[in-house]
Amino acid sequence: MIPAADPAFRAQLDGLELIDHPVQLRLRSRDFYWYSPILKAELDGKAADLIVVPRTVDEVVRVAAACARFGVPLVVRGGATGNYGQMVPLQGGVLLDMARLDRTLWIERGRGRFEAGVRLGDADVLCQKQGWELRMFPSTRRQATVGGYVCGGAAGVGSIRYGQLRDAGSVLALKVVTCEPAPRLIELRGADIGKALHAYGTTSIVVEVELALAPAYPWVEMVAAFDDFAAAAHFAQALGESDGIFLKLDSLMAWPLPRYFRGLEEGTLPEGRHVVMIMVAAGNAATVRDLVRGRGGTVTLERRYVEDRAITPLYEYTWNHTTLQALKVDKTVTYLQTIFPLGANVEALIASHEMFGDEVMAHAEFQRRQGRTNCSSLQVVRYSDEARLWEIVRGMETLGIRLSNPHSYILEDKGARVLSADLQLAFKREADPQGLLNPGKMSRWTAA
Amino acid sequence: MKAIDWPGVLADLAPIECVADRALVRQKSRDFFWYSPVLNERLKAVRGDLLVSPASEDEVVRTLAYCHARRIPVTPRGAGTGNYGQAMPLQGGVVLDLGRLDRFLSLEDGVARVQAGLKLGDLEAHSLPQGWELRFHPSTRRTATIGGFIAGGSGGVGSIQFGGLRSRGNVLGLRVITMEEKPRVLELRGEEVMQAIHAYGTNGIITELEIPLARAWPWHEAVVAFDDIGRAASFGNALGEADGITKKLISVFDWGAAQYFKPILPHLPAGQAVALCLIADASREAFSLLAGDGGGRIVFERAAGDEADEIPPLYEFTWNHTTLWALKADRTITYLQCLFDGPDYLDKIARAVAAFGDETPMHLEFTRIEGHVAAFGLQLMRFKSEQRLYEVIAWLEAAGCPVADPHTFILEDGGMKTIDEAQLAFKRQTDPLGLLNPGKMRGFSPAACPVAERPA
Repeated sequence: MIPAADPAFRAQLDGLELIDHPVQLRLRSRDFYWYSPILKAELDGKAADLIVVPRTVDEVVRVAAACARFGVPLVVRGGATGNYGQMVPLQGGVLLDMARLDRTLWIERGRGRFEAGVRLGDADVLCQKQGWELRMFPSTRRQATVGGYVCGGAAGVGSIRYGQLRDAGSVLALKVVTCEPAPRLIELRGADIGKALHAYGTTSIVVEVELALAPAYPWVEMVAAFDDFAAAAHFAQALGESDGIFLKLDSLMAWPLPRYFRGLEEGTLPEGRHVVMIMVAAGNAATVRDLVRGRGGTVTLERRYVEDRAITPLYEYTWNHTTLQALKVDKTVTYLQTIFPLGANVEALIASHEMFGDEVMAHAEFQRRQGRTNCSSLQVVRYSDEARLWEIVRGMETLGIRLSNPHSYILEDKGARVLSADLQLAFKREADPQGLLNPGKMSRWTAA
Repeated sequence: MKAIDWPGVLADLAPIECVADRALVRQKSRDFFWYSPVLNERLKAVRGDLLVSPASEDEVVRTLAYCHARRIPVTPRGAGTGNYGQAMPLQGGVVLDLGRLDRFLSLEDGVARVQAGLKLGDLEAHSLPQGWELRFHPSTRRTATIGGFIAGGSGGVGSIQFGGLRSRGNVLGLRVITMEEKPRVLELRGEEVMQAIHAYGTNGIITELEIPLARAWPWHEAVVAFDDIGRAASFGNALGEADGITKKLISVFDWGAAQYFKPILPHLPAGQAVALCLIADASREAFSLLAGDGGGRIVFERAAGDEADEIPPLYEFTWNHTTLWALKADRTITYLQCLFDGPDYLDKIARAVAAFGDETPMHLEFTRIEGHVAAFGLQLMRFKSEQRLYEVIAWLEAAGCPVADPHTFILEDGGMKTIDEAQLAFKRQTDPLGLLNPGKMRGFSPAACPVAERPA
């Protein structure tokens, strides 16, 4: 009998919302790993044995205790919008669906505290009502949860101003539950946040998140089109480096990527042209217009950003949505995820565009790193086979472009810094001594 | 050429407010040029002949047309908080005080349109209740005008977030009146504004301007003490580059400079270097961790805007106020103004400290410039002679630290060292006779038509 089906184990969960319908188990155990043909082959069919939907932190504690006592694997699910199977249960067990742990605890003086299952879009709207907004969010803002973002995400829309989630001051606190027979509640602050941040829930269960907020701005969405890729790339960099232009989004897409994008106003994405997608504070929209013109581009879209379910926001064409938009049209594409050399990123971007042509469609997300403007890239690749994919990666490496492998569910393959990997490994020994949390994701883990 | 009949001018300009009282006109002809012993010698006798205080743009136009017809020099003035005689009338004539053009015109989508003579503090008194504040301001926020800042300043408190006045996007529009027979009213927009920013009013009288504001944060003041200036400077850089920590001010001083900060002195450990910072309230925790990691100790903190005690706002110890505190204690002190930039800028700072030690107590203002973090050096200097001053300046230049000489009133010598062709070309259009703030723009020579002679 699989442990999750053990009546003694189920008895521990009496009164909690449990789901074990096979269709639900299969559907809720997936994320967007199928962007990758490699992960698709590896992860298709993986599923939890039981879903638990806790409504309170106490209920999370009960689930953690039960799993620890019975040796049942435990994987936490937020909005399941990850792209590398961050939350796909490799060894079955319990899937802890945080969707109902969704209270906003407080918002004040530029800080917000949320339960892990609050959707980012909902959190953002609540903040805006009080004059604040999220500093950054992934393109999956409307589906993803606060907890899922800090456990599986890294940056996003807003990173051009506020850097990465891991930068000190972005995430202010995480409240976590350990996976032990008598689970502990631990408040992580300061450098300790790294114990659970971007750990895929392998080290503890994040139940509350305190975020630094930004004051809310009126935003304008703009698209600028360029004939020449190099001109577009230099523009995107210059825009990011313009200290007097208050930005939220600065995304570059090489033609023919825009060909895959549906739902934008007629004329936004002219045939054959490379585009930069921008969110800028309304007060600087005219400045951006001037800069586009000065760099030989054309503004093809300018509209006020509004919260409206009926409109696809510009950011849903950027970050990891870019690949999704392409996949909706062409199932044969996949993508890469790469980090560029600081100070030479534009040159590398142009060189890689020339090296691979349409086989690797450049897509760069400009962002602040260590106080400067750099980009990371989520290139969309016309996939032939795995051998060719690694050949492309090696070609990129000759240009100083490093892979943050999106075709692997292994935590350490994302280019995690040794320091945080050490911190996380040490914390896992303390908080999940049996190695039950999201087993198989932290490659350095070996059960004591 | 005939001397000017000033009582007649006064009568002609009526009902525009004019003052001919010598003492008052002299007072309104000065700024903080006396920070510099060099400028003090050269400018101490400068005074205008008549103070004209227009209450509307129409009155500005009328004044300019009148002065143009009589070839009377006109030097515009905000609050006179400049440091290089920017607003001092070298050739006398009319001092055009724009302080009565002080209306807050509109605030929409975070863009403020205001008249040039509005004081920065009053501007924020209008905008803060609506949740907006200045992107950056000089340390003279409580006295300076917005027009004076844009015509004579460059950056300040907030430049660590937004860069300076010359960073694109920080000034959206300027309304400028030309000095011609029939003065024209020009609206400069976008890149065109660079023609008149930091031009000391030599190429048009700015009457209105449009600037994007920043959303207001609850700010927190903190002073961090370090064993030495090197650690303090490294901390300044680390804080500047910490994208997750929102800050508005990072000013670093060695003890030689901090020792003059009288009101806050009881909080400063003797002999230590300090960083004076403004950080967003939400960034306090990350800030104090970073300070600790850098070997610093927080010795003072307070919510900004809370000035119940004797200590003025922290920003009034920074930027050009620093020199003022030193001068209050020691009249022999003056200052430098250079840029420490480039990948090795912390090394450049260390070399400057090693080379001059207590002769030039270090004062750094961290800023964003062209998309990265750098520091302005506003070192104090124990003045011995002009020759020694220029030796130090030459050393800094040779060490790759460009100096914006604060000991000259010449526009081109103070900043870029080259003639700004756009500003010069604009002057040819807006002030062909060279009557606006004459003597400041070196590159300009007026179309053969000398200004009216001053009465003895």
